[in-house]
Amino acid sequence: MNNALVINLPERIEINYLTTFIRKMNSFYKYKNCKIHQFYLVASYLKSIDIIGVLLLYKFMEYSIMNNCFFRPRTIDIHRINSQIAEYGFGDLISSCYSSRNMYEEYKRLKTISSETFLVSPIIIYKDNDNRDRIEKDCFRQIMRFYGDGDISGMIFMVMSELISNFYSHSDDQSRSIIVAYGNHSSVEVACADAGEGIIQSLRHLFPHKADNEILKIALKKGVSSKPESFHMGYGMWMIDEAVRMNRGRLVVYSQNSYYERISSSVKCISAPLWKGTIVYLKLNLSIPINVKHIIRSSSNFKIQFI
Amino acid sequence: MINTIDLSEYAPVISSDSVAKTIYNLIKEQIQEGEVVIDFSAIRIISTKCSKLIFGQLYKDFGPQFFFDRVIIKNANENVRPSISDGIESILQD
Repeated sequence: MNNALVINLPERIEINYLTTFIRKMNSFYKYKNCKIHQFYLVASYLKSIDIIGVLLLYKFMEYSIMNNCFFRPRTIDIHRINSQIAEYGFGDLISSCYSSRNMYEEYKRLKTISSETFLVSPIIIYKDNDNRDRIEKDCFRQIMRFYGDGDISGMIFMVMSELISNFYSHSDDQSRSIIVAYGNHSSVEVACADAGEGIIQSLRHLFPHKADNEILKIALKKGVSSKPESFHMGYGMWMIDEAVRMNRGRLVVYSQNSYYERISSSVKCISAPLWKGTIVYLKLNLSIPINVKHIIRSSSNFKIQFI
Repeated sequence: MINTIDLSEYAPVISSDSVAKTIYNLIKEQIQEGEVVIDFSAIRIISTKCSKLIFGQLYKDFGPQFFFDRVIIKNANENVRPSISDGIESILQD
Protein backbone atom coordinates (compact mmCIF):
# COMPACT_ATOMS: atom_id res chain seq x y z
CA MET A 1 0.00 0.00 0.00
CA ASN A 2 2.66 2.44 -1.14
CA ASN A 3 1.52 6.07 -1.19
CA ALA A 4 -1.68 5.01 0.51
CA LEU A 5 -3.16 6.75 3.51
CA VAL A 6 -3.54 4.15 6.24
CA ILE A 7 -5.17 4.58 9.62
CA ASN A 8 -4.76 1.69 12.01
CA LEU A 9 -7.55 1.48 14.55
CA PRO A 10 -6.14 1.19 18.09
CA GLU A 11 -6.34 -1.98 20.17
CA ARG A 12 -9.23 -0.71 22.23
CA ILE A 13 -12.06 1.59 21.24
CA GLU A 14 -13.83 1.87 24.56
CA ILE A 15 -15.01 4.52 26.99
CA ASN A 16 -11.75 4.25 28.97
CA TYR A 17 -9.74 4.99 25.82
CA LEU A 18 -11.97 7.66 24.32
CA THR A 19 -9.45 10.48 24.00
CA THR A 20 -6.85 8.12 22.51
CA PHE A 21 -9.28 7.04 19.81
CA ILE A 22 -10.42 10.57 18.98
CA ARG A 23 -6.83 11.82 18.84
CA LYS A 24 -6.03 9.13 16.29
CA MET A 25 -9.14 9.67 14.20
CA ASN A 26 -9.64 13.43 14.14
CA SER A 27 -7.19 13.79 11.29
CA PHE A 28 -10.32 13.03 9.23
CA TYR A 29 -11.32 16.66 9.65
CA LYS A 30 -8.41 17.91 7.56
CA TYR A 31 -9.38 15.64 4.67
CA LYS A 32 -12.72 17.36 4.10
CA ASN A 33 -13.44 17.52 0.35
CA CYS A 34 -10.02 16.03 -0.45
CA LYS A 35 -11.38 12.79 -2.03
CA ILE A 36 -8.16 11.01 -1.22
CA HIS A 37 -7.57 7.90 -3.29
CA GLN A 38 -6.15 4.81 -1.62
CA PHE A 39 -7.38 5.24 1.91
CA TYR A 40 -7.40 2.21 4.19
CA LEU A 41 -8.98 1.88 7.61
CA VAL A 42 -7.28 -1.09 9.27
CA ALA A 43 -8.83 -3.05 12.13
CA SER A 44 -6.15 -5.77 12.31
CA TYR A 45 -4.93 -4.72 15.76
CA LEU A 46 -8.34 -4.04 17.25
CA LYS A 47 -9.03 -6.25 20.27
CA SER A 48 -12.11 -4.77 21.88
CA ILE A 49 -14.81 -2.21 21.21
CA ASP A 50 -17.80 -1.17 23.27
CA ILE A 51 -21.03 0.72 22.59
CA ILE A 52 -19.40 4.16 22.51
CA GLY A 53 -16.63 2.78 20.31
CA VAL A 54 -19.03 1.43 17.70
CA LEU A 55 -21.03 4.68 17.75
CA LEU A 56 -17.98 6.89 17.26
CA LEU A 57 -16.44 4.62 14.64
CA TYR A 58 -19.67 4.94 12.69
CA LYS A 59 -19.72 8.74 13.19
CA PHE A 60 -16.21 9.07 11.75
CA MET A 61 -17.15 6.91 8.77
CA GLU A 62 -20.29 8.98 8.28
CA TYR A 63 -18.28 12.21 8.46
CA SER A 64 -15.81 11.00 5.87
CA ILE A 65 -18.62 10.07 3.46
CA MET A 66 -20.71 13.21 3.96
CA ASN A 67 -17.63 15.42 3.56
CA ASN A 68 -16.00 13.62 0.62
CA CYS A 69 -12.81 12.86 2.49
CA PHE A 70 -11.93 9.75 0.52
CA PHE A 71 -12.56 8.21 -2.86
CA ARG A 72 -13.64 4.58 -2.49
CA PRO A 73 -12.20 4.04 1.01
CA ARG A 74 -11.37 0.50 2.00
CA THR A 75 -11.46 -1.28 5.32
CA ILE A 76 -9.26 -4.18 6.33
CA ASP A 77 -10.27 -6.80 8.90
CA ILE A 78 -13.33 -4.88 10.00
CA HIS A 79 -15.03 -8.29 10.22
CA ARG A 80 -13.20 -8.68 13.56
CA ILE A 81 -15.86 -6.51 15.15
CA ASN A 82 -18.88 -7.74 13.18
CA SER A 83 -20.43 -9.28 16.28
CA GLN A 84 -20.15 -6.04 18.28
CA ILE A 85 -21.46 -4.00 15.36
CA ALA A 86 -24.46 -6.32 15.22
CA GLU A 87 -24.84 -6.46 19.00
CA TYR A 88 -25.25 -2.68 19.22
CA GLY A 89 -27.54 -2.50 16.21
CA PHE A 90 -25.18 -0.70 13.83
CA GLY A 91 -25.20 -3.36 11.10
CA ASP A 92 -27.44 -1.47 8.69
CA LEU A 93 -25.80 1.89 9.29
CA ILE A 94 -22.26 0.63 8.76
CA SER A 95 -23.33 -1.41 5.73
CA SER A 96 -24.75 1.75 4.22
CA CYS A 97 -21.26 3.26 4.40
CA TYR A 98 -20.08 0.65 1.90
CA SER A 99 -22.97 0.74 -0.48
CA SER A 100 -24.93 3.30 -2.37
CA ARG A 101 -27.95 2.71 -0.12
CA ASN A 102 -29.56 5.78 1.29
CA MET A 103 -27.99 6.40 4.67
CA TYR A 104 -31.17 7.99 5.92
CA GLU A 105 -33.49 5.08 5.24
CA GLU A 106 -35.60 3.80 8.05
CA TYR A 107 -34.64 0.65 9.80
CA LYS A 108 -35.98 -1.39 12.61
CA ARG A 109 -35.42 0.65 15.68
CA LEU A 110 -35.83 -1.49 18.67
CA LYS A 111 -34.71 -4.98 19.45
CA THR A 112 -34.76 -7.17 22.48
CA ILE A 113 -31.86 -9.50 21.75
CA SER A 114 -32.62 -11.99 24.47
CA SER A 115 -34.45 -12.06 27.74
CA GLU A 116 -31.23 -10.96 29.45
CA THR A 117 -30.30 -7.90 27.40
CA PHE A 118 -32.05 -4.87 26.00
CA LEU A 119 -31.11 -2.71 23.03
CA VAL A 120 -32.44 0.56 21.73
CA SER A 121 -31.05 0.36 18.20
CA PRO A 122 -29.37 3.51 16.93
CA ILE A 123 -31.93 6.27 16.50
CA ILE A 124 -31.15 9.27 14.34
CA ILE A 125 -32.59 12.39 15.95
CA TYR A 126 -34.02 14.41 13.10
CA LYS A 127 -35.37 17.93 13.27
CA ASP A 128 -38.71 16.38 12.37
CA ASN A 129 -41.39 16.46 15.01
CA ASP A 130 -43.50 13.57 13.71
CA ASN A 131 -40.47 11.30 13.53
CA ARG A 132 -39.36 12.26 17.00
CA ASP A 133 -42.79 11.70 18.53
CA ARG A 134 -43.10 8.28 16.96
CA ILE A 135 -39.58 7.21 17.92
CA GLU A 136 -39.92 8.34 21.50
CA LYS A 137 -43.28 6.68 21.94
CA ASP A 138 -41.99 3.36 20.54
CA CYS A 139 -38.74 3.61 22.46
CA PHE A 140 -40.26 4.38 25.83
CA ARG A 141 -42.94 1.73 25.53
CA GLN A 142 -40.30 -0.88 24.73
CA ILE A 143 -38.26 0.21 27.74
CA MET A 144 -41.31 -0.23 29.92
CA ARG A 145 -41.98 -3.68 28.47
CA PHE A 146 -38.45 -4.86 29.32
CA TYR A 147 -37.92 -3.16 32.68
CA GLY A 148 -41.51 -3.00 33.89
CA ASP A 149 -43.51 -0.01 35.01
CA GLY A 150 -41.48 1.16 37.98
CA ASP A 151 -38.57 3.25 39.18
CA ILE A 152 -36.02 1.69 36.83
CA SER A 153 -38.02 2.61 33.75
CA GLY A 154 -38.64 6.03 35.27
CA MET A 155 -34.91 6.62 35.61
CA ILE A 156 -34.18 5.54 32.04
CA PHE A 157 -37.08 7.68 30.74
CA MET A 158 -35.76 10.69 32.62
CA VAL A 159 -32.20 10.54 31.29
CA MET A 160 -33.14 9.58 27.73
CA SER A 161 -35.87 12.20 27.39
CA GLU A 162 -33.62 14.97 28.70
CA LEU A 163 -30.76 13.78 26.48
CA ILE A 164 -32.91 13.57 23.34
CA SER A 165 -34.40 16.96 24.12
CA ASN A 166 -30.92 18.49 24.40
CA PHE A 167 -29.55 16.98 21.23
CA TYR A 168 -32.78 17.72 19.35
CA SER A 169 -32.87 21.38 20.31
CA HIS A 170 -29.26 21.91 19.23
CA SER A 171 -29.46 19.88 16.05
CA ASP A 172 -29.48 21.08 12.47
CA ASP A 173 -29.34 19.31 9.10
CA GLN A 174 -25.66 18.56 9.50
CA SER A 175 -25.47 17.44 13.09
CA ARG A 176 -26.97 13.95 12.65
CA SER A 177 -27.44 13.13 16.33
CA ILE A 178 -27.54 9.39 17.02
CA ILE A 179 -28.60 7.82 20.31
CA VAL A 180 -28.27 4.17 21.29
CA ALA A 181 -28.87 2.32 24.56
CA TYR A 182 -27.91 -1.14 25.76
CA GLY A 183 -28.67 -2.81 29.04
CA ASN A 184 -29.36 -5.87 31.10
CA HIS A 185 -30.87 -6.35 34.53
CA SER A 186 -27.97 -4.76 36.39
CA SER A 187 -27.00 -1.73 34.33
CA VAL A 188 -27.86 0.42 31.33
CA GLU A 189 -25.54 2.31 29.00
CA VAL A 190 -26.74 5.21 26.88
CA ALA A 191 -24.54 6.84 24.24
CA CYS A 192 -25.32 9.81 22.03
CA ALA A 193 -23.15 11.71 19.56
CA ASP A 194 -23.56 14.47 17.03
CA ALA A 195 -21.46 16.55 14.65
CA GLY A 196 -23.11 19.83 15.57
CA GLU A 197 -22.06 23.13 17.00
CA GLY A 198 -20.76 21.81 20.30
CA ILE A 199 -21.58 22.91 23.85
CA ILE A 200 -18.72 25.36 24.24
CA GLN A 201 -19.49 27.24 21.06
CA SER A 202 -23.19 27.41 21.95
CA LEU A 203 -22.44 28.93 25.37
CA ARG A 204 -19.45 31.08 24.42
CA HIS A 205 -21.55 34.24 24.05
CA LEU A 206 -22.65 33.92 27.69
CA PHE A 207 -19.15 33.29 29.05
CA PRO A 208 -16.77 35.09 26.71
CA HIS A 209 -13.83 35.09 29.13
CA LYS A 210 -14.00 31.54 30.44
CA ALA A 211 -11.71 28.73 29.33
CA ASP A 212 -13.30 26.01 27.22
CA ASN A 213 -13.29 23.29 29.85
CA GLU A 214 -14.67 25.74 32.43
CA ILE A 215 -17.60 26.39 30.11
CA LEU A 216 -18.22 22.67 29.73
CA LYS A 217 -18.33 22.27 33.51
CA ILE A 218 -20.71 25.25 33.81
CA ALA A 219 -22.98 23.71 31.17
CA LEU A 220 -23.90 20.95 33.64
CA LYS A 221 -25.04 23.36 36.32
CA LYS A 222 -28.70 23.94 37.06
CA GLY A 223 -30.36 26.65 35.01
CA VAL A 224 -27.58 27.09 32.43
CA SER A 225 -28.97 27.29 28.91
CA SER A 226 -27.60 28.58 25.64
CA LYS A 227 -31.12 29.92 24.98
CA PRO A 228 -32.07 31.64 28.24
CA GLU A 229 -34.94 33.58 26.68
CA SER A 230 -36.62 30.45 25.36
CA PHE A 231 -38.52 27.67 27.14
CA HIS A 232 -35.29 25.88 27.90
CA MET A 233 -34.91 25.69 31.65
CA GLY A 234 -31.29 24.59 31.56
CA TYR A 235 -32.20 21.55 33.65
CA GLY A 236 -31.46 18.69 31.24
CA MET A 237 -27.72 18.11 31.64
CA TRP A 238 -27.86 19.10 35.30
CA MET A 239 -30.50 16.45 35.98
CA ILE A 240 -28.48 13.82 34.14
CA ASP A 241 -25.35 14.76 36.09
CA GLU A 242 -27.22 14.68 39.40
CA ALA A 243 -28.82 11.34 38.57
CA VAL A 244 -25.42 9.83 37.80
CA ARG A 245 -23.96 11.26 41.02
CA MET A 246 -26.74 9.81 43.18
CA ASN A 247 -26.72 6.57 41.23
CA ARG A 248 -22.93 6.21 41.63
CA GLY A 249 -22.83 5.75 37.89
CA ARG A 250 -20.62 7.20 35.20
CA LEU A 251 -21.08 10.16 32.90
CA VAL A 252 -18.84 11.43 30.12
CA VAL A 253 -19.59 14.63 28.23
CA TYR A 254 -17.14 15.34 25.43
CA SER A 255 -17.57 18.46 23.36
CA GLN A 256 -15.16 20.09 20.96
CA ASN A 257 -11.85 20.11 22.82
CA SER A 258 -13.09 19.48 26.35
CA TYR A 259 -13.83 16.33 28.32
CA TYR A 260 -15.98 16.10 31.45
CA GLU A 261 -16.20 12.90 33.43
CA ARG A 262 -18.13 12.01 36.56
CA ILE A 263 -17.64 8.66 38.26
CA SER A 264 -19.96 8.59 41.24
CA SER A 265 -19.14 11.76 43.20
CA SER A 266 -15.75 12.35 41.59
CA VAL A 267 -15.52 14.85 38.73
CA LYS A 268 -12.82 15.95 36.32
CA CYS A 269 -12.92 18.37 33.38
CA ILE A 270 -9.90 18.62 31.12
CA SER A 271 -8.73 19.62 27.67
CA ALA A 272 -8.99 16.91 25.03
CA PRO A 273 -8.41 16.24 21.31
CA LEU A 274 -10.97 17.88 19.06
CA TRP A 275 -14.34 16.29 18.41
CA LYS A 276 -16.51 18.52 16.23
CA GLY A 277 -19.78 18.18 18.10
CA THR A 278 -20.87 16.56 21.36
CA ILE A 279 -20.69 13.06 22.80
CA VAL A 280 -22.57 11.96 25.91
CA TYR A 281 -22.10 8.56 27.50
CA LEU A 282 -23.64 7.37 30.72
CA LYS A 283 -23.83 4.13 32.64
CA LEU A 284 -26.43 3.65 35.34
CA ASN A 285 -26.69 1.04 38.09
CA LEU A 286 -30.17 -0.34 38.09
CA SER A 287 -29.88 -1.25 41.79
CA ILE A 288 -30.09 2.49 42.64
CA PRO A 289 -32.98 3.92 40.62
CA ILE A 290 -32.92 7.72 40.73
CA ASN A 291 -35.91 9.68 39.55
CA VAL A 292 -37.09 13.26 39.19
CA LYS A 293 -38.45 13.25 42.75
CA HIS A 294 -34.91 12.67 44.09
CA ILE A 295 -33.44 15.55 42.09
CA ILE A 296 -36.06 18.30 41.91
CA ARG A 297 -37.08 19.24 45.42
CA SER A 298 -39.60 21.90 44.63
CA SER A 299 -39.93 24.44 47.41
CA SER A 300 -42.63 26.45 45.74
CA ASN A 301 -45.82 27.39 47.55
CA PHE A 302 -48.00 27.17 44.49
CA LYS A 303 -51.58 26.21 45.21
CA ILE A 304 -51.78 23.68 42.39
CA GLN A 305 -54.79 21.41 42.76
CA PHE A 306 -53.31 17.91 42.76
CA ILE A 307 -55.96 15.20 43.20
CA MET B 1 -68.58 22.99 34.03
CA ILE B 2 -65.66 20.56 34.39
CA ASN B 3 -63.85 19.17 31.36
CA THR B 4 -61.36 16.30 31.50
CA ILE B 5 -58.30 15.90 29.30
CA ASP B 6 -56.88 12.38 29.32
CA LEU B 7 -53.17 12.35 28.43
CA SER B 8 -52.92 8.57 27.92
CA GLU B 9 -52.38 8.88 24.16
CA TYR B 10 -49.06 10.60 24.95
CA ALA B 11 -47.97 7.95 27.43
CA PRO B 12 -45.63 7.10 29.01
CA VAL B 13 -43.40 10.18 28.56
CA ILE B 14 -44.18 13.76 27.52
CA SER B 15 -40.94 15.16 26.19
CA SER B 16 -41.37 16.70 22.75
CA ASP B 17 -42.21 20.32 21.99
CA SER B 18 -44.96 19.43 19.52
CA VAL B 19 -46.79 17.24 22.06
CA ALA B 20 -46.39 19.96 24.69
CA LYS B 21 -47.90 22.55 22.36
CA THR B 22 -50.81 20.25 21.51
CA ILE B 23 -51.57 19.74 25.20
CA TYR B 24 -51.18 23.44 25.90
CA ASN B 25 -53.67 24.33 23.17
CA LEU B 26 -56.15 21.72 24.42
CA ILE B 27 -56.07 23.09 27.94
CA LYS B 28 -56.13 26.71 26.83
CA GLU B 29 -59.26 26.11 24.79
CA GLN B 30 -61.15 24.44 27.61
CA ILE B 31 -59.94 26.46 30.55
CA GLN B 32 -61.95 29.41 29.37
CA GLU B 33 -65.17 27.44 29.75
CA GLY B 34 -64.51 26.27 33.28
CA GLU B 35 -62.39 23.93 35.39
CA VAL B 36 -60.19 21.46 33.54
CA VAL B 37 -59.06 18.14 34.99
CA ILE B 38 -55.84 16.93 33.38
CA ASP B 39 -55.47 13.20 33.91
CA PHE B 40 -51.82 12.08 34.21
CA SER B 41 -52.62 8.44 35.09
CA ALA B 42 -50.65 7.02 32.18
CA ILE B 43 -47.78 9.54 32.27
CA ARG B 44 -44.58 8.50 34.05
CA ILE B 45 -42.38 11.52 33.24
CA ILE B 46 -42.88 14.97 31.81
CA SER B 47 -39.71 16.78 30.79
CA THR B 48 -38.92 20.05 32.49
CA LYS B 49 -39.10 21.94 29.21
CA CYS B 50 -42.54 20.53 28.43
CA SER B 51 -43.77 21.46 31.90
CA LYS B 52 -42.73 25.02 31.28
CA LEU B 53 -44.23 25.03 27.78
CA ILE B 54 -47.57 23.82 29.10
CA PHE B 55 -48.11 24.90 32.68
CA GLY B 56 -45.64 27.74 32.88
CA GLN B 57 -47.14 29.32 29.79
CA LEU B 58 -50.74 28.82 30.97
CA TYR B 59 -49.85 30.41 34.29
CA LYS B 60 -48.34 33.34 32.45
CA ASP B 61 -51.27 33.66 30.02
CA PHE B 62 -54.05 33.60 32.61
CA GLY B 63 -52.45 34.72 35.84
CA PRO B 64 -52.10 32.81 39.10
CA GLN B 65 -55.64 33.07 40.49
CA PHE B 66 -57.36 31.98 37.28
CA PHE B 67 -54.82 29.22 36.72
CA PHE B 68 -55.07 27.72 40.21
CA ASP B 69 -58.86 27.97 40.21
CA ARG B 70 -59.33 26.25 36.87
CA VAL B 71 -56.45 23.74 36.48
CA ILE B 72 -56.76 20.45 38.35
CA ILE B 73 -53.98 17.87 37.99
CA LYS B 74 -55.20 14.32 38.52
CA ASN B 75 -53.06 11.24 39.33
CA ALA B 76 -49.71 12.95 38.80
CA ASN B 77 -47.02 10.73 40.30
CA GLU B 78 -44.11 11.82 42.49
CA ASN B 79 -41.93 12.47 39.45
CA VAL B 80 -44.46 14.55 37.55
CA ARG B 81 -45.47 16.90 40.38
CA PRO B 82 -42.09 18.55 40.98
CA SER B 83 -41.59 18.96 37.25
CA ILE B 84 -44.90 20.83 36.93
CA SER B 85 -44.13 23.06 39.91
CA ASP B 86 -40.69 23.91 38.60
CA GLY B 87 -42.07 24.58 35.14
CA ILE B 88 -44.27 27.31 36.61
CA GLU B 89 -41.54 28.64 38.85
CA SER B 90 -39.19 28.87 35.93
CA ILE B 91 -41.52 31.10 33.92
CA LEU B 92 -41.68 33.51 36.85
CA GLN B 93 -37.92 33.81 36.78
CA ASP B 94 -37.78 34.75 33.09
